[in-house]
Amino acid sequence: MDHSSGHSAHEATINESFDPYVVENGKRYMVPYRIIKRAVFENIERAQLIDIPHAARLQYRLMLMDPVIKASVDFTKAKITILYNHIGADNNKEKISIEELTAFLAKEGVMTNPSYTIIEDYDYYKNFYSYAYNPAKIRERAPYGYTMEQWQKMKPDWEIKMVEGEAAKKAKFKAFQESYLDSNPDAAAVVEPGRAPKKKQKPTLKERIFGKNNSNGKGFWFHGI
Amino acid sequence: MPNSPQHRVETGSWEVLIEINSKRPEDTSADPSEKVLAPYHRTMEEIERMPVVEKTMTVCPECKLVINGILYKDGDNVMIRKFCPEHKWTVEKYWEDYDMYMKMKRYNYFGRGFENPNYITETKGANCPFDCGMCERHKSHTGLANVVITNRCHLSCWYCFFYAKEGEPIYEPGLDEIRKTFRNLRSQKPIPANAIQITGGEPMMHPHIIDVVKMAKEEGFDQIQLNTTGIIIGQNPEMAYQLKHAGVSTLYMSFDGVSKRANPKNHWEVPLTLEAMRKAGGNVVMVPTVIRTINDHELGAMINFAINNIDVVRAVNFQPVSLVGRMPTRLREKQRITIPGAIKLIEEQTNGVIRKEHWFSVPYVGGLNKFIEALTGEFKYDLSIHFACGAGAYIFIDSDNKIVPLTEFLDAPGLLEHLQKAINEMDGKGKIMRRAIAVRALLGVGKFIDKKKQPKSVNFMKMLMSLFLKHDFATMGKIQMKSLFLGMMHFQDEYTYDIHRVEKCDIHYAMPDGEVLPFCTFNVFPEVYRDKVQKQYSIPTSEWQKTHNNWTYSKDKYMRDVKALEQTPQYIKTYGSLIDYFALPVNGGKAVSSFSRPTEPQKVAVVATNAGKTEQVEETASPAQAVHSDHAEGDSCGCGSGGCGCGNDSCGCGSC
Repeated sequence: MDHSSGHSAHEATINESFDPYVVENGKRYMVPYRIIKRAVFENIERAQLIDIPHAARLQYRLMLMDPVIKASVDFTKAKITILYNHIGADNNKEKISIEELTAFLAKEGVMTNPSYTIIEDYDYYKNFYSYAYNPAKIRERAPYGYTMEQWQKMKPDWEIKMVEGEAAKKAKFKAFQESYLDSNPDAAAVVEPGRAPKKKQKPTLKERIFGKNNSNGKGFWFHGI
Repeated sequence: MPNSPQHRVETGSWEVLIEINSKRPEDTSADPSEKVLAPYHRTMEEIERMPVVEKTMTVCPECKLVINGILYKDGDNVMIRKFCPEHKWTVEKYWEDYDMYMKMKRYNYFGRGFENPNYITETKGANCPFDCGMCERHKSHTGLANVVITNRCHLSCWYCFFYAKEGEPIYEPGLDEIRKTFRNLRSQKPIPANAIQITGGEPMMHPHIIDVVKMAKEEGFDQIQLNTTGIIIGQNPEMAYQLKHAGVSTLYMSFDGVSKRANPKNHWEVPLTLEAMRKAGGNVVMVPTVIRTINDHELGAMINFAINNIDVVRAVNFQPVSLVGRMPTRLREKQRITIPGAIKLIEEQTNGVIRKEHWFSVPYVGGLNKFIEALTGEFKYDLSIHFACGAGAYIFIDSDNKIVPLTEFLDAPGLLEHLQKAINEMDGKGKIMRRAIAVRALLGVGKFIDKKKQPKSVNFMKMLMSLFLKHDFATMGKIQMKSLFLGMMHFQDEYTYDIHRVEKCDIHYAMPDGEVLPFCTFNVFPEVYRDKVQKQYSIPTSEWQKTHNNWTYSKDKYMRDVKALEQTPQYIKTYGSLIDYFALPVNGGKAVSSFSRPTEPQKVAVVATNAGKTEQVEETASPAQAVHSDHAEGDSCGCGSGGCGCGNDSCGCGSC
């Protein structure tokens, strides 16, 4: 295999009946794999992995193969984990057998021991795709200049403020859209053809006497000064 | 064919070219202090004696082994050297100004990673950069999220690596899938992604682009950028209204130069796009990819062009080229340009009006944000990227057309130090004390502004107060309206790769499998990230053809009518009435480098080669015709597809 090309020779097998879409709350999302395999090779001889940089390169080389969806070469634990699209998997993507994988590792100088190899089904949709879209929270930090204790007390208020802020932001944008169309008839003709032009508001008595306030809330007496 | 490679070989001109290309600069100076600086051509013994600036981890460009990288000082340059046991030494230019490197480094700080990182592998970043997603090791939240909505493009630029070539599968997610990606970005903790760049391919080719923008707004993004050539908008100006109304904040538009030769991508359409955006009240950020020997002579001219269109152009964001893919040293040496290299050229080309001391690294802004965060107790955007990744400068155009860089009248380092003291003082204090400290700090801000030097039409103190008190995007927007932002963003490649930079990256890509990746792993190792995952979520062209009304690759490609475009009033107005702001007496009175008005008929004497003979062509030919006549039929522009959309045979690749 040419490591540098980024391509592997594995071919996709087409299964006409496979639907690459899943439905969540009535919406369709492409998920190219369902049940794939996870191979875990344990008790690898550290000398075969050489060191962390070589382990990282091995991981890269495994990832170059199209049927390998994710690989992880853990030098510290002397363990290799590979998520791969196995022969016979129900999807339309490139496939690889465990024999090919072990042969590849052997070519890279890593001998796997069948008694320390676990091959199991892996639900790509549930454990990979769905997790990546909804990952667990693993830590928490306070804003700059605050301790975690201070932050814990402030947090509920901040969360409420965030929700309110989101609503205010949307209202502000809606107002912008309205005023954009009101002030720009060309835009209105494109975006909302047939939109009735906004009626000009009659000036109030105060405006008729003192003139229109254009000073952004500073008060009419600032106008023109 | 007279200019074909075959012809060159037959006539022997090919050998001559190769010989010229193989020439190395020779040192003929007797004075050792005037020696030619040739950092690529030193012996390793010499290089190893150079002072070490920093140590990092990098990769071997050949085999991707993670290896030590040593940053060292060679004259004015900061270089990176690395040794792979298999592929030996690689030496590359990292930063072309040592003093500037040290200045920028002062503002470096570690930001915050994700509280909910979405990586899948178990090694937690130990095998960086081959462990991406956002792992526990990553040190910045998402500052700008890129979402690819199609890999189709109507152009085929030779240096671009973002689009599907002929026969490659099509990646174009549906609206529900795009919304899911947006939600993923908005659910990041503690700071949801707030700025998004909708990108491609050419995102305007997505059939539901307006709905995509609307959705981004619905999901709560404040800043929505559309990364485009602008060609489709220029030709369908009504789309500018729709985009603005839907919520596009800025058009992030490719713009590689003012001349046709430097910018074959969209030179002819830019006037139409600018006019459409002007009418729609939109904003444009011009984005030149800077390649040495290709368009580096037009940096000043591009700034001048932006000033000429300051009513609609908000920024010029230069991107020194990322030399992705394996390249011989000679070519890297020829085309490599880094942030300070581009900054120095800008100084030269603008006659010293925009100098290198006017530039700051991006994490500088983090100091201002930290102050606001310490005052309010609310998470603010961090911009904690690595100092070598980006730089920026603001210039104001005064009422008398004087160009005034921000740091001419603002003592920026002093201001930052002043605010940092206040942040330190606030530590552990209660709300009231914090406010008292902040008020005292803000009252002292005035001493960092030289009111005599600030533009007459600008009250910067007022703007700054508004930023600190309202601390929102709108205030930043108001500053932008009165100024032109000049940015630099240098993405990495395998030769300059620095893991310290990538783990601080805040320009991220959201992938269809739910993972989020830094720009410089996504694009530098596409074979295991970008292309691999997009291929998983793509549709083969044959299937795409069936479901998309007999689509063909060539139907997507844009062919321009140069003559018709050059006769449009927008083209004539935009290029024909350019003012050279740098030539005005108030700015020193010396023309900006490469200034020209391309539509004026010029007296050109172009020599066209025709089967070994030379002949004079029309003296009054427009430059477009002149350039065209310079290239014989059958020439290859190097884009590989023959459909680069450049409209003439000169795409600027140097191989025409």
